Amino acid sequence: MQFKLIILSVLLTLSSLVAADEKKADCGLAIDAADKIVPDPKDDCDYTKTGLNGVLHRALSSKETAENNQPVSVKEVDGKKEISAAHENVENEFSNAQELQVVKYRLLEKAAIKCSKGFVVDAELYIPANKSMTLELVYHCL
Amino acid sequence: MKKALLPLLITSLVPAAAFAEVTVYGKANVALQYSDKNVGDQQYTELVSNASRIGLKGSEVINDDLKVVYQFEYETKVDDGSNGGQTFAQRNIYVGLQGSGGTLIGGMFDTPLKASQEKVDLFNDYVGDFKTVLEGEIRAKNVVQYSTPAFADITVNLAYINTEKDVPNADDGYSASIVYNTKAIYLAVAADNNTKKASDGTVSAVDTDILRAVGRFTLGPVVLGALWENYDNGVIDEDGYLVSAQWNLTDEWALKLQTAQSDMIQLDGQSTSFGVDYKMSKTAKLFGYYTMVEDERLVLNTANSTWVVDEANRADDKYIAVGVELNF
Repeated sequence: MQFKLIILSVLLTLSSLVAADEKKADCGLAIDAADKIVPDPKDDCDYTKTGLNGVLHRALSSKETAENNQPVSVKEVDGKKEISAAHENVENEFSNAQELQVVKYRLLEKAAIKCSKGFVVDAELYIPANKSMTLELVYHCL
Repeated sequence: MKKALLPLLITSLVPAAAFAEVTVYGKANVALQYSDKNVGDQQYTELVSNASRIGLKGSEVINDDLKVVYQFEYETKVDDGSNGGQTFAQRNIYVGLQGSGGTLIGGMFDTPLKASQEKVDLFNDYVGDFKTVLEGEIRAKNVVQYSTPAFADITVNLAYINTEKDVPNADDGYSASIVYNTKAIYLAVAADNNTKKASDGTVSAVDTDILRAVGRFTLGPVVLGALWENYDNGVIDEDGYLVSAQWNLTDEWALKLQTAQSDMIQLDGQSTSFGVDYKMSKTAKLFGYYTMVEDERLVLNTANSTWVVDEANRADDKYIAVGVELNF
């Protein structure tokens, strides 16, 4: 009996050590998390960009953009204009390289609309926001 | 870009700000199955929907230490669109609170004993699901459950099932589990008392008790599962078991084997399944399986008052199927 307890203790210790060394794996499917019944408090998986959930979140992001009707704000500092999205708007948020390119192109496009003779980008501001980042451009027209 | 109707319908109903913490999820699983059944000597093909479902889950933060959690899940029949006449049938639904002290939820959902199987049943929701052989697969109604935070990967779940009656022999039910869960090893011990009777509102002078132990071990590409159970309903007191093995040949291909046996539901009930999965992507797979379901149920021979195997009504069924599953 004592031998069995020792073996069990060793197994539990080894498995907990393995678990401690394990890095958090890629998030599983949302349905697998749901099947566990009790939500894992440590689960910080983001499903807002995958599957049907991603489609709905993108659709609602578009809806929020239409509701706010404030795609960008432009302020002038020292003769230079700073173009960014409104605080509630997520148009300039990105969480991967592909989205960064889309966001950057969108902001450049809006600057081009305002500067008919062209513009120079003076600075790119990358600001962390929750699980993503936002991009703001500082530019001046030619 | 043409947008799908469902996203437009949902987004028109839900305020954008409220949707931030909501996750929509689901599964579509359909298989073309050939069934060879002993009763009536029937052979036929059918399209089956294996627990296809759609759900919403999420949380609403109250403060740094407290949030409201919820889940609404419904089954839908992809094959014929009818769940006993309904388009959607309720699955796990709850609302509750979660904080540093644990999680408290109320609703209709799988008991801790049912949830303790984790993924040892490799043919869960298929015709080879061990629920045809072993008791305890209960989605109880009127449940209040408390789950502890995880300490050293160990969680305790305690559920109370309200029978909602105040009559003699209408007893409430209980279900509890202790779970040790890591990626490599899963161990659980669970117990039920009167959960099905309380959930159904059954009046009975006899308690029903179930005790279950589960283990799942991941050894490289091989995952081994085992489940042992004791069922005592005051009339029978039977043990049963399940063993399963999955061999992940590659990142795409997996072979599966499982057998379960007990006398709990039918005398000498047995379910054996072989299967293969092909993972097309993270969310989609093709699958195939061959399942045999058998038992040796008895019938009284009135001619000589002896019990004999009921050849006409016993299970001696075989199923073969191929299908596709999409998780979203």
